[in-house]
Amino acid sequence: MSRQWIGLFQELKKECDWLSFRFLNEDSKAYSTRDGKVEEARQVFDRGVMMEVVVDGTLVYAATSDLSEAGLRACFKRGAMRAKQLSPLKLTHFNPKSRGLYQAQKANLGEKKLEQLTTSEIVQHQIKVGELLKKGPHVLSSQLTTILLSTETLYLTSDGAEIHQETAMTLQDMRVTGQKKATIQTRSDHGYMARSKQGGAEGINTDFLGMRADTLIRELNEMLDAPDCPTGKLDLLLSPDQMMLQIHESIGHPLEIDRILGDERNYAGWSFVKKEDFGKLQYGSPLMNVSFDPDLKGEIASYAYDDSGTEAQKTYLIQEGKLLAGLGGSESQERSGLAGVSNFRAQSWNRAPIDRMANLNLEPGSSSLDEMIAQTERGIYMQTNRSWSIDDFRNKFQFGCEYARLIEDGKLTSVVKNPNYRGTTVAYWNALKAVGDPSTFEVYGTPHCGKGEPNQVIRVGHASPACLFSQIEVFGGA
Amino acid sequence: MKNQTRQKHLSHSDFQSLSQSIYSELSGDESLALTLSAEDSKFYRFNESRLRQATELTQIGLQLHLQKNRRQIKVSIFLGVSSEENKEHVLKILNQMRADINELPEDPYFVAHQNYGVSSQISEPIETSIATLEKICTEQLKGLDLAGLYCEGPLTLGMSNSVGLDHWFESAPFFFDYSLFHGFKAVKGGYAGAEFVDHKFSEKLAENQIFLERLKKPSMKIAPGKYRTYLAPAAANELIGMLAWGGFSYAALQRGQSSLGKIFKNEAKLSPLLTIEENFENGLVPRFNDLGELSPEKMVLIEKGVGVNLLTSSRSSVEYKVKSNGASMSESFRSPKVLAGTLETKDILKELHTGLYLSNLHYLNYSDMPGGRVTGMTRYACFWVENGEIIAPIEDLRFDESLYHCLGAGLIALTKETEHFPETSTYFSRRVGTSECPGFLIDQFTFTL
Ligand SMILES: [Zn+2]
Repeated sequence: MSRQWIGLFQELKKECDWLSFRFLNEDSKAYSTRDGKVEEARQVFDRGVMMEVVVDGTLVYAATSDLSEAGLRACFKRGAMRAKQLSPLKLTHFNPKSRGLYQAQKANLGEKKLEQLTTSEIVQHQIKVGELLKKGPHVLSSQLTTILLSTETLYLTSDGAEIHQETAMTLQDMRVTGQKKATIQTRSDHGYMARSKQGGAEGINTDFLGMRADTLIRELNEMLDAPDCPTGKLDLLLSPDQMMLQIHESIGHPLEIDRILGDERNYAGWSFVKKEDFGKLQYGSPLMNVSFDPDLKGEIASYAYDDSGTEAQKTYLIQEGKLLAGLGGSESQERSGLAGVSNFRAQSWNRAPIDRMANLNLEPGSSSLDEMIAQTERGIYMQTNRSWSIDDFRNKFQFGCEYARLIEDGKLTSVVKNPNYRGTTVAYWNALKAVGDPSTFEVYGTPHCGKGEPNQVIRVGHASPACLFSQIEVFGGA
Repeated sequence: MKNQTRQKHLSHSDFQSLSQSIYSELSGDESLALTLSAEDSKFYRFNESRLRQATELTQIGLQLHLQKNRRQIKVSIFLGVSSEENKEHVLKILNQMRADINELPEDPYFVAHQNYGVSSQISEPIETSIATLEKICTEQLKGLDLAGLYCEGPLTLGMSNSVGLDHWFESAPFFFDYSLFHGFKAVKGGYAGAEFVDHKFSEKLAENQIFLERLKKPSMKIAPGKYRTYLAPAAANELIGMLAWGGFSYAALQRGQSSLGKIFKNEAKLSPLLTIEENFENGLVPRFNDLGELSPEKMVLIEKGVGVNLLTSSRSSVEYKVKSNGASMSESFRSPKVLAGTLETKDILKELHTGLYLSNLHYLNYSDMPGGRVTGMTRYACFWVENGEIIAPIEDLRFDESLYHCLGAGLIALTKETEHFPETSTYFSRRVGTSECPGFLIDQFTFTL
């Protein structure tokens, strides 16, 4: 891709103090069906370049979708002019050491090419599963979505970095809503777009979708007949498809170093975590081990290099409950003096990179699911996120799930509807009393983490075992 | 220090000639709509009153919506400024779409492209000089800790189709969305419009600083419970914003995904003080929707607490055999207006008497969507008030409350003054939009954490 512009890059880099080009091609094909009928077929072919132009130690990002020679030259000129003008206003001086020096080619396109899946294959299959869902008793509506994604980036810098990366991804969502008298409930396949994974067409298992449809219908009907979740303090067992959200909101965001440095204070928010907490804060119980892992097979935000060209490696952020490192790329590490990871990432060619989660995982422990249920006298087992809210310092959260069953005297008993729980971050993680073993470990992801000014969404992966928390406030619906 | 700058992307006539050259290539059973969404943007991000990241962007997006034999497919691409290259690019994509569309089944709720008419609305862009921004940083923000985003530049939305539709909307709004901090406490500020006027911004900053001073007192910890609560317009607007999410959608109501189901099934009423409209009268938002239909200038959704109209798209009209009313495909509002009440600004604290004054809310979500219950956090300048006097700022609180209560029997008064909120969302591209809302005085508002 775009290698024809290497000559132009070599020419323009001489006209400023430091320069990078990041070309991006991203193709996405999304198909949605509703109630067994086609709803929408939409494709996006995203193309553009982001330049980092440095003049007088001032970095300006300049981006364009005009990939002609004239377009690239105009974009560079605008960036260089602005860098000079904006120099007196800058917060930090650009340091070229915050950018990597690698020359590399990396590709993860999976085992089976995405192109092997045809539009009609995907749509016809979704229609078939949709018809199955429609036949369920009390069903009001159902929806299926499949997205096939492939991205390609080329990053060039003045210092000689040349990194070419290619990735394929598949994302799927299935949900069904039913009504019985005044009760309306929705059951989905592990939460909105949670089946987001890296790899090729092998990620779409059509038989599996049909099987899941049966489970969703059965559980939906249990939910429609169920009483509301009780109010009170119970031991809370969370499945990996809710742990995903719990990790994301109450570990991932507060550990982003750009948040700790205040960059996000006007939008996403600040953080209760302070610079001096690293190496000291007991974030959770000693059972808690959290890693930034850019290399877990199939997890959606796997990559070899971030958008600063820095090599990504597995790093423990929290070990035995203690906070060790933050989610900050090379620039944030330099600004804060803290240990970080390679997570300087941009949504696309049109946005500057910022500190993002990528794959952020809770490492498995040693308890089986049965053991965690058996050790619980009065508890509740909640599955699948449906609602999320947390304050701008990432302390007081309230999360809701789709499906729940009570645990009484060590056994799973009745289904309850509208399960919600709330808590405050550090107290909550310190109430972690059992961590599921590898047999409970599941990998999910989401394409929709929002942050940044201008706003950006990004894909993140979260893998986790099931986990048991002691004495959490739970409650039901309206 | 203002300069007039033309956009660097496509003009209306560029777009018209590109469109015509593509439409002339269509066969008799094909119809195509093109939607242009282009921007030349400056995104200047501030932290500690200094420039943290600056982005200059030229982005020209084009969506092709092809219809053939009751089938349809949409493809979005990105363009340059050369008309020859653009034409070649668009034709190549059109040919790919021709192959894909045949693989799709017939769409049972198909709405064919139609000529909904011609419209044009152009406001001249006025660029803020870098010298002005420099003056802001070095003089006006001296001694202040500001974080936020300054955004400006030409913005174009164009739409045409092969049966004659031609809409054009060109504007160049700026906004400066910011927070001013004292330690961990902050006030939210915002200044937006067509032209940045230094002294108007200074006035905004001065207003913000009055609140910032009040935040310097130690914060009070308020126990969870039910309190008489004043939601300032920005906070009330957040609450109303939740209704964009299925609240007024005809389709969402049919599919069990509405938070106002009981209102529109006439099983419940909201407060007679509450009237909500979809209102385009201020001209800040294009009236044409994603099909090119012109929405009415004004449509009442809730009148004195009673649900009177749902946003109904042409697609819903085919599926559910009801009349459409110019709603977009998503059936969420684009220009909501909550009508003012009678509570005078000077009487707000007196009428609140004892309770919570909340300037802003944060991170709202449904704790029970079909049940109409919403949770969220307080944020920014929020205070404990006793006997009509501000006592102290509060530590942030979580609320969890039914819309049927806080917009129903619990709604005591709406303020006489409303505020306008420009759209500051910049996901994927800059959005145009606006909303208008008064403040709400609510009895027995529930806080849980
Ligand atoms: Zn997020």
